[in-house]
Amino acid sequence: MNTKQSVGEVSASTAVFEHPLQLACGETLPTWQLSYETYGTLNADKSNAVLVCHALSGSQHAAGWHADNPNNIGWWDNLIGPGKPLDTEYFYVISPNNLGGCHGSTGPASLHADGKPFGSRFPKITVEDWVCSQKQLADKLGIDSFASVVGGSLGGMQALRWTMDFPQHVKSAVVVAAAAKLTAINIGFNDIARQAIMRDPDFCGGDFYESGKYPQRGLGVARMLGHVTYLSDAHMAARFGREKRDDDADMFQVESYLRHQAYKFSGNFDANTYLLMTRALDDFDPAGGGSLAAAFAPIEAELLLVSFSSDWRFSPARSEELTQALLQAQKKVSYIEIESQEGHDSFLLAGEMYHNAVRSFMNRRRKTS
Amino acid sequence: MKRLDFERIAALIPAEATVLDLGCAEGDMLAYLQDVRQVRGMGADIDSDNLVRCFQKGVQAVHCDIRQGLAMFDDGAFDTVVLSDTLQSVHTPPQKLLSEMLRIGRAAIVSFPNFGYWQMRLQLLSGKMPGSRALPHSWHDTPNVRYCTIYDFEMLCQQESLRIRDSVFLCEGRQVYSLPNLRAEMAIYCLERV
Repeated sequence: MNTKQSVGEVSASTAVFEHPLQLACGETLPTWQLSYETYGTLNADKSNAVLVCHALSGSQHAAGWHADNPNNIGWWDNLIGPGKPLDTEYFYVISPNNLGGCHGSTGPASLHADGKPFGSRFPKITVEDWVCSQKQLADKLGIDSFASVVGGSLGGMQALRWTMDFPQHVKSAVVVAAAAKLTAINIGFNDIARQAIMRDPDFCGGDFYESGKYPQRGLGVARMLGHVTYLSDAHMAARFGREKRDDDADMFQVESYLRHQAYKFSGNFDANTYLLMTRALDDFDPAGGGSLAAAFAPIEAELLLVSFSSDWRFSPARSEELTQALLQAQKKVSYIEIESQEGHDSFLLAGEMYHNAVRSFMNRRRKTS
Repeated sequence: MKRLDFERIAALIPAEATVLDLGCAEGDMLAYLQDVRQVRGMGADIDSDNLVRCFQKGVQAVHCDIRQGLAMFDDGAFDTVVLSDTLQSVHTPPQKLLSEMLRIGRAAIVSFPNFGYWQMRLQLLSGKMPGSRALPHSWHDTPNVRYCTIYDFEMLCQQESLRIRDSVFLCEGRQVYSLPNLRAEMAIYCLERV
């Protein structure tokens, strides 16, 4: 690892909120907490703060490494750090774990008032709820306005929602590989993933925490499906082809790889969180059946939208829809489609053009923020 | 960089207008227009390198393949739509492109190299494929797909019932006032619907 370009060793903090959080579904969380990491230094006038929003399987650990596990590098470490597109020499980056997550923020495994884990009782969470909870975290940290809110995929949806819900408190947003709403095929994929989890006998209707069981097989299958669809045919063909394992003539390399990924992921992710996150994805629809341009009317931030040519789950056409609606609403928007091979997962990789685009946009925020 | 065509185009655009630049390249003209005319600019280009250069300059720009159409831009979304030194390299038929520009903007500004420039005529007479400062590419390595003269362009405007509000002709960094089809390397037109 290149320590020079890394934020280095980091640790998570926890913000505890003793007042109830009203959720979009009508329920409330009486007390709740968000786990978050920060990178860089907040400047005197608090104008250099950037919020990073994570996607489906992310966490607050976006950059650097933890003392107890130096191999666990943050999920967006290639983007965040000294001299990187999101330059921590200048920006102060805040990366929270979403509500309903499984890395320290209040989620399905947290204890309900009755002392037992929420499990199936954990309320439904929406992108709007996340944005609302992140705003409260910003307030607690004394940050009135973000220089930028940045996210990819589900994280991009949060960044977009930020500009709509708190126009006075966000100066810019970087929305990568996102969409105004999921298409039917995407909802279909998400439901196959959910069914894999819910049909695992160890799921126990979502209340498995005290049973000593865990739907690891179902979650693993869900992850395999997600993983394949987040890549592209060309990328997988180039990477695995029809190669078989040296020690097992009956197993293709791609099978072996996916099973390993499934095992790795399902061992440290919460099945209920996976369900909740995919539901939030499916339900996201800021236009609500109306005009997207009208829904974008409150936006004041300048936006950068990025899509990837090989992304067939959040295709460039989805980003074009967003761009068109933002242009209709006469918002400040830039949009770039990046040539890539790696499908939706391109947003997590360090493509040169992609990073140059983000870097150029973020550098302008330095001059104006 | 001071460019006479940018200056002359700027003179055709009202201060603080909203401007869409089709084929904006690296955003130099929009950066200039933002600077001297305080326009609210938007660039459109197909090349990612160009778009990144725009972002570096603080010029907003969107990925757009002009050949695929301009449906992403609403009717009347901009005061002025500019097509600067780009007409010759777009596959879309010019009449269709001009019509789209005047759907999106109240005025359309088009600049292009004049194939009728006397040096071009001489080169062709001597049996060579012509080139000029405004048309620097060799025939076998050129982004250009169509050439026209000032005469041709004005005929097209007449045929398509487009009103020529202004025209400016340039050669060797100076404005040309007489016999433009013979003496101008580059033409700039400001068009409106009749």
